[in-house]
Amino acid sequence: MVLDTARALARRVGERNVVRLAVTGLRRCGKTVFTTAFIDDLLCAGQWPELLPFLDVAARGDLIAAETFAPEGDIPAFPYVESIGAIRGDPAGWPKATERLHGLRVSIRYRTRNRVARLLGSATRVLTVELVDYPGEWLLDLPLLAKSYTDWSRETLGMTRAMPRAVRFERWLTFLAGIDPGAPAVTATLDEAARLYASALRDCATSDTGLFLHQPARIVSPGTFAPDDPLLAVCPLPPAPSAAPGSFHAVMAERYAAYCEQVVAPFYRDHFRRFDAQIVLVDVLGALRHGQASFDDMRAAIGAVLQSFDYGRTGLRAWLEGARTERVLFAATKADHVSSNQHPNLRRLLEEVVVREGNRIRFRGVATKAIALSSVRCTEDVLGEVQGQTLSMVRGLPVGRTTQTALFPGEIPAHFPGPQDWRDGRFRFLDFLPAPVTGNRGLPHIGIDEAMDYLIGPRLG
Amino acid sequence: MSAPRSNHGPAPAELDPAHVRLASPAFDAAPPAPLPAEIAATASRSLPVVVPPRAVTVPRRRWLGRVFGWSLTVFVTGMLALNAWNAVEAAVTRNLAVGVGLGVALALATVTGAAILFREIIGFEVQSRRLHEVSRVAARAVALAGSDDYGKALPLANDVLAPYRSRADMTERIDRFRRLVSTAHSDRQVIELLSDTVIRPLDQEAYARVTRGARDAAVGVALVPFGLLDAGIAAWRALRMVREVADVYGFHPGWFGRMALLRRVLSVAATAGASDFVGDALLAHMGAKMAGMLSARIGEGLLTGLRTARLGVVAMSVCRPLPFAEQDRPAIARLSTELLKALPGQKADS
Repeated sequence: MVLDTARALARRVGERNVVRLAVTGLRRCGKTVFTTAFIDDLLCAGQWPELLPFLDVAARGDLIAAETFAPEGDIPAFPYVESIGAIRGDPAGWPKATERLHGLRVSIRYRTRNRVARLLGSATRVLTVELVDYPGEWLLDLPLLAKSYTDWSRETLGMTRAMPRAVRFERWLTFLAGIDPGAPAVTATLDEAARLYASALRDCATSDTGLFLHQPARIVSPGTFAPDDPLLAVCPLPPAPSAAPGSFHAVMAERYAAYCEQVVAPFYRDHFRRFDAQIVLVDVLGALRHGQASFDDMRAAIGAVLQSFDYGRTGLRAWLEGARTERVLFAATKADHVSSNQHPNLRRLLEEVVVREGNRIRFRGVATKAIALSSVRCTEDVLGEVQGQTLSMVRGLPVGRTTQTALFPGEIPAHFPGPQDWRDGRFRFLDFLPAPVTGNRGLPHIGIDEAMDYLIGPRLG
Repeated sequence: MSAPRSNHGPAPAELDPAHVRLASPAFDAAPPAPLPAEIAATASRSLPVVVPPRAVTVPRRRWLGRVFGWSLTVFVTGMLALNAWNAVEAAVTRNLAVGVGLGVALALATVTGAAILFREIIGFEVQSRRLHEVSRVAARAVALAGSDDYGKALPLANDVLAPYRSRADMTERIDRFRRLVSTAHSDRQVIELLSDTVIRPLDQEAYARVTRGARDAAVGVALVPFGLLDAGIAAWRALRMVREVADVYGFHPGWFGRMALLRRVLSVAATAGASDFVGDALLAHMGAKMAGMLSARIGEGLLTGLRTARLGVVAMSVCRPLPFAEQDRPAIARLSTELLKALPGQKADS
């Protein structure tokens, strides 16, 4: 115990200038693009200080240069070069969806304002930011760690029996109806149930439903596992009145426990148990586009994910482990899909989405903030006349088109839309492609400097 | 019950990009950038005209003083004119050549005096309009800095920068601001950027002038042993300092302008600004007392210096086109140590 503490202390002192930044966000919310832009902007900021006017250290001209390093341990390096190549390429595009875990470290050399350090002759300092990128689905496994198999089954069954999931899970549900969960287990039947569940889950995830809560997540996005790995053959079952050992219910519960222990727990332990700052990316616009079911699903998913983080651990032990999370930033991504004057509403909407979690986090003494963010800004604000009305629109090149368009995507509400507010054609969002950038100038963005200043700014003194 | 359609705002729409115009108010270093009429209109329409906190008017009976002032002026001017006329007339009767010479001199003096007066009045018009404009712009900036809006600060930035566009030392800063700012920045952010990149360097310059003025006044009062003379020195130095500060922020006040500015500064210093400076003043007073224990004259000098500095800081806030952000507000407390260093017979930083 003493030895442990001493070792932790030594490591902590050695890592004084390391910030572990947890980038969290559901599938397709822009984690990879954020990570890429975060790195690229820091690399460019030494030469183009005007790229990040709200990152204090860059604005005052004290950011000297930044460099990327391979992550520690056996995590594969984040394919930064490929990702930025896609964004800056000709024709420009987006990086591929992330299918496995990557890490990267960015070290920033800057001139310190600390007088003592300057007197001692060390006018420059280095801060290293550690980042990991991973498929967003995996986060949805984290809540399983705190849930019993029976509870999880009950919740998931309730969800799959309701629309819009009921259609896709119909075959599995009928198959389940023929099983007595209390009866002695037949492996073939169990596997068949798991297979049907998995295919329905994948169907849900790949089609354009805008749903998020897919558990267990590795069925949808296996990462380094084979899709038919026996560890992933898990599905919910109705409660058994008497769950005797060896019954369907009991065997599946064992599989669930094994999944949690061997797949989810290491992921959580290695990457989310300790971090200094966290950014939670939320694609509010995407959920608005898909309608109420998607919006509600997203809220539930974010709520579940954020509940599984351990904020505000205090005391020496937590400090030694670097587990003291200091700040959490919520960001509504893809803010460039709407004109700038809609950003305040976008931010308010985001604040409503995370209102409960934000409250819980702040109660634990962690600072939070909400912003509208666009890691790579693809559009510009324009004004156009539509039916005699002047509207603020965005102009850009939509994915899959060859010419630019000007779009008014609809008015972002400041509050949750009520059930009667969801009507067809209220919003029309388009995905845009990055605008070509000349030379190695920094990419245009909205608010990434604000995000950086909030997350790592206090450590760049 | 279904909500009325209009609650949701206009329906989504797509347009040919050829038929739209840039929303950014084309930010030019060139002469007052024309804004799209739209933005200019919305900007001026929806902005609450906030009464600047600095212009505190006290209702009072004006006519009595005014009649007194005017009648006195007419009387004095009339007496002077009459005397001058009599003098010329008397000279003519005594010697024609001298008389004509005096007459020509008087005519010349009258004409040039009128010209100077005319120029001053014109200049004063312009300057007081500018001063007025600055306080209006500052009030707008206060409103925007607390808002959550977009698109109104860039027109404001145009107004703020208008007087600086012709200044060579400002081109680079204005250019830098133009590179930094984008339509994606909220009004609050635009004002912050404007303040950081363009106005803050001016603050430093103005602050240097204030420090110098305060130091001169302090040293002057400490060294000159005659009561009236040191008051004169302090007043003269304060006036010069105020003019220098105004110069830094882009005013070039004439005599009347300087008087108007000084009046404004004094009224702010006496009323609205007072609460801002109470803490500082208290601290300053303590410092002066400490110094007074060493020597009465040095204490007096220090106090005069601090008062001058306070006046300078108020002058800065009157001339500054944007309100001070918290971290930009010049601190008088810091100045007192510098003043102490400058005063004779004092060991630096003791």
